[in-house]
Amino acid sequence: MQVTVHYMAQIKRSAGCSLEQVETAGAATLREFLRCLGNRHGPAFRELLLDANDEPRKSLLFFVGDEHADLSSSLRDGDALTILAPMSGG
Amino acid sequence: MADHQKLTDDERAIYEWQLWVEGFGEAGQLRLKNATVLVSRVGGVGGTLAHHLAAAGVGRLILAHAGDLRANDLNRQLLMSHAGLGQSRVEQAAQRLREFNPHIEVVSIAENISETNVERLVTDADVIASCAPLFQERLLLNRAAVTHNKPLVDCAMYELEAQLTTIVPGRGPCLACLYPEEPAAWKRQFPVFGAVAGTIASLGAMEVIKVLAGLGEPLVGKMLLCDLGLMTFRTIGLRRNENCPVCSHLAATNNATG
Repeated sequence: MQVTVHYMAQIKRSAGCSLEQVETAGAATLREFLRCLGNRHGPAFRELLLDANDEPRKSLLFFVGDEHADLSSSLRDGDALTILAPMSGG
Repeated sequence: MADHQKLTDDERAIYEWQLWVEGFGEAGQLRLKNATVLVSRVGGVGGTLAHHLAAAGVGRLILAHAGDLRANDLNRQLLMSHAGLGQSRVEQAAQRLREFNPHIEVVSIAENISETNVERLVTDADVIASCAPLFQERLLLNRAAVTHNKPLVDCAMYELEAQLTTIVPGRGPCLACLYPEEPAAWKRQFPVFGAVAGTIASLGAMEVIKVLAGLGEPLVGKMLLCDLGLMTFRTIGLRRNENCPVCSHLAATNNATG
């Protein structure tokens, strides 16, 4: 399965790119996909993406296409996933 | 709200170009004139947003921001001046807005949003503009907005990116639906250009005006994502959290518009 991942805000810098194609096998849900993704870009990226229990951070927002996605959402080949790290005013 | 039933000739002259906007007119202008908006912090986002609301003729602005102007505020805080370094940010902002539009009332509060002032400030407003850099303040404002059924426009930014959503309690997710806990890695200072702050501030001001005047379709249950590096703008559908500790008790049919 191939998923296009779009990183926004702080996590983009840790990923080192704003967009990438990720091939994965056996990750049926968004949660499983994110756990696989956590191994891709080093410890700082993993720290922003996953907590100590390997759970996706609650402060991240995930969108599949143009819809807000639940961690239990299924991912399909060709999906576009946006990972939005927190941002604020100032 | 105050009870101003008419526009003066001066006001008709100042707001003439927006009075021509279809669906707005004198009735819309009176809604702005009779409204109070709380702006949480008047930095790069809140200051520019407040400037637009003053220009549009929102009758009463409450500006809340503690602290004095620093050199590294000046890349984005357009209501300030170099001569004002070391002086109160909120007083400079209020003074500038009073000079810009003497027909409106500007109230300055030299405090950031906190547990001790949030109830008082939120209940005094018809709409809230959330522009603070700290999640603690944004989540406090959100909780009070939900409690008192006030619309809240939330603006945020980072580097070349920005996001915007409008919270109408019960009609879409609140901020606590999206951020059930304060992000551990978030810091008050972060990389950004003033033009990014100004972009999201202008869009946020338009949301406030739309909510007050009943114009267009505010971003309720939606989030605008802007990437000014790529010049892309996307609107995403958001979901309420059915277990949200702040707003899940509200029925989904709440039609409050403040």
